[in-house]
Amino acid sequence: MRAVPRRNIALVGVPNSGKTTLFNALTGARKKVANYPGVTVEPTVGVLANHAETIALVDLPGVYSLSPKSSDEEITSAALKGELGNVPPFNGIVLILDATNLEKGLFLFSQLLALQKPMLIALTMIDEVKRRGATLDDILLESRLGAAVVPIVGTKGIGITELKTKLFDHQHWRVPPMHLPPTASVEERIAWARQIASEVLRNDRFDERTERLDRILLHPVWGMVAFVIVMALIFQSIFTWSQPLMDAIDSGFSTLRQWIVGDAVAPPLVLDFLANGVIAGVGSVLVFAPQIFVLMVLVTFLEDSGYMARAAFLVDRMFGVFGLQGRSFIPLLSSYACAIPGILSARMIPSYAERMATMLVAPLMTCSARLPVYTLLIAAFVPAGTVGGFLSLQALVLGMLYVAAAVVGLVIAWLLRKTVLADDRTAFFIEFPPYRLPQWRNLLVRATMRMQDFVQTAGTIILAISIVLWALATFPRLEPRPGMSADEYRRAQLEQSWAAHVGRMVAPIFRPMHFDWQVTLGIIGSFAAREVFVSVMGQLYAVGQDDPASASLRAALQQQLSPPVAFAVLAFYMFALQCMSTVAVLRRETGSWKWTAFAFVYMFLLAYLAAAGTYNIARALLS
Amino acid sequence: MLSLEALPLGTPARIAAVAGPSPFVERMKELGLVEGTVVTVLRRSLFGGTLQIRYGNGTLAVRLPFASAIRVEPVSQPLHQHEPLWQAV
Ligand SMILES: Nc1nc2c(ncn2[C@@H]2O[C@H](COP(=O)(O)OP(=O)(O)OP(=O)(O)O)[C@@H](O)[C@H]2O)c(=O)[nH]1
Ligand SMILES: [Mg+2]
Repeated sequence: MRAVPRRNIALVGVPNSGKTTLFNALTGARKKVANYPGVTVEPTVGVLANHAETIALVDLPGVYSLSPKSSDEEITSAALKGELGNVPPFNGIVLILDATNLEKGLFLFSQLLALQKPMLIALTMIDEVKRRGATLDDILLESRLGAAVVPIVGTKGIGITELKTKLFDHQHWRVPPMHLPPTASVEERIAWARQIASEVLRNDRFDERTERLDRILLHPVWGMVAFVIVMALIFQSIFTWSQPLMDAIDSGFSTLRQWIVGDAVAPPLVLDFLANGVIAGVGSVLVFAPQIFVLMVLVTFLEDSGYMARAAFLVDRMFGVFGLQGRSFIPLLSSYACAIPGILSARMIPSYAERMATMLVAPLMTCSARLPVYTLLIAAFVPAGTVGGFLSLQALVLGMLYVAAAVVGLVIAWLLRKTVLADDRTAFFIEFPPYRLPQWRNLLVRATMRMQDFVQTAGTIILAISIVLWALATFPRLEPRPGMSADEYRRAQLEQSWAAHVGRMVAPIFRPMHFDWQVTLGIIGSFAAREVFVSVMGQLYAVGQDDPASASLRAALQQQLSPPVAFAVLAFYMFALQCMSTVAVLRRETGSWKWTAFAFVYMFLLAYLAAAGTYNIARALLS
Repeated sequence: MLSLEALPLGTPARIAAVAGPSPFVERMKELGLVEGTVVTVLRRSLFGGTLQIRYGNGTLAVRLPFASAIRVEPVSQPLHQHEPLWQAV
């Protein structure tokens, strides 16, 4: 049998030129696309094949030049030189040339010439320059550059088939001539790029829609007001949009549970396992899937609209005071969905000290795994009224938790930058992309992917922990006494179970905040995944219902937790680094166990002190 | 000649010199902020410091490592509106 020939092809282009959009369109992948420079920070391989050969297409982080200034750019430079271990040397390069940003793309092209590789050029965003009223001569561009040019619109799939055909057709791959001597200076290269751009692109002008929006969104005062409104709307929507669906899922699980155990005082073990192990444990977490979905849709909308670079501009001055910079905003905001991609995206920050400080505070941002814990406790312990007639009080408290996390993060960053990460003054820059209407499909795909993750955690880690906890809570088995209600029996059973023994043994750790053994077990279990807290509460508390028809966890918590304890738990979850995957990513990205341990310890201490403080303050205020 | 930070809003000016730590200077040049490029400061952020500048057909946010890192010379002749700014004059 003859081995199928295989070529490795790199996708190279300046940041935000549409590389990943094209990569997804060609390979069917679902890699993250968003409208700001610096989205992709890791190489991704996708495979394309026809009858004759296989192409391994590698999507790379965007670069402005071949002399890297940040660690995402370093990856691309190293990959192009064949120095990146896990990426094989390339046989050819597809240059992604953004028609709205030709000059920078052509400058990069002038540097790529030195690699002497066969090239193909994908000219993206041609829909946008046309909308602006410009004319673009791609035939002239092709002859001026000496490489095949394929105009495409990645988001609409225009030109993709043509590009695919050319990818496989060797006669279209040419090594372009050296248009400039290898020793040409940056100035000479820029002048050359400008010359070509002015020949092929006529009558291009500023994007007017972007101009108009910027006039409001970047206004020194109105821009800030808009920023606050945007953030507030997000938190309000997390609560209000997802509530109906959450209630429906919640009552679905309650009904199911009721149907399984019925009125039996001590149901058979198998049924007890299904109702009090699986459904109470996993079901109580799954209720929160709609919230995660709504949050992801909103965050993706922001990221894909072009607002992120604007937000970076708006906060840069203030972040500078705390030793961070505008770019730090992007990893920190994405940490509100999940700290792991957030920490990774800190690679776009050029300065070492600023990047480290950003990564070390990113886990403090309120990731979506905290959301179930927050919503559960807020819904149970904060009254449902409104403030000023429209903003719900519960959403306001949630918003405050989010803001407080950010404020503490900034203060910690400031402390770090004053001490262990002290460094010179740095500069900041970020290109403003035109505003773009986010693709519906993109919003749904990203939100669904995050929700799948969430459901998968529920189906694996949380299920496993629920089973262990169920066993601990069910044995040793107590015989029901005659005349006992189902509820009294469950309570008596729990009190003498192994779970209670273990819980009481470790509960003294949390003595200062008066956490009982149930809460203590929930917190310890949460070091595997934060959502475990909800599932532990679901298993240990939702059983003590006087009214078995309403098995809602919220009502159970109201009966069994005191408000100061509930608020102390909230404070603990705000700060504690209870996520093993985040620890692993921190280790990889900081390259040191010392920094990772430092992050874990400082966040634990912060959480512990905050919980103890909150407990005492709340008790003093509420008594 | 004045620093980019001191340039009044909306006034086109030609870059005369870029100075500062070498990665910064190199990156600014790679982005097209070379000697001779015509730039306009569109906005300053609240409390100043961070600028939104326009050159060519795009805009860029910058905070300079020090105020005089980019020095400019205001352009005296009026610019033709629809020509790319770096071509004019
Ligand atoms: N109008 C239009 N928008 C596009 C086109 N291609 C990509 N986009 C949009 O441009 C933005 C950037 O696309 P990405 O594919 O993330 O760009 P990238 O080059 O991978 O960016 P980095 O990973 O940051 O280097 C997204 O908002 C896309 O939806 C196109 O051909 N036309
Ligand atoms: Mg990308």
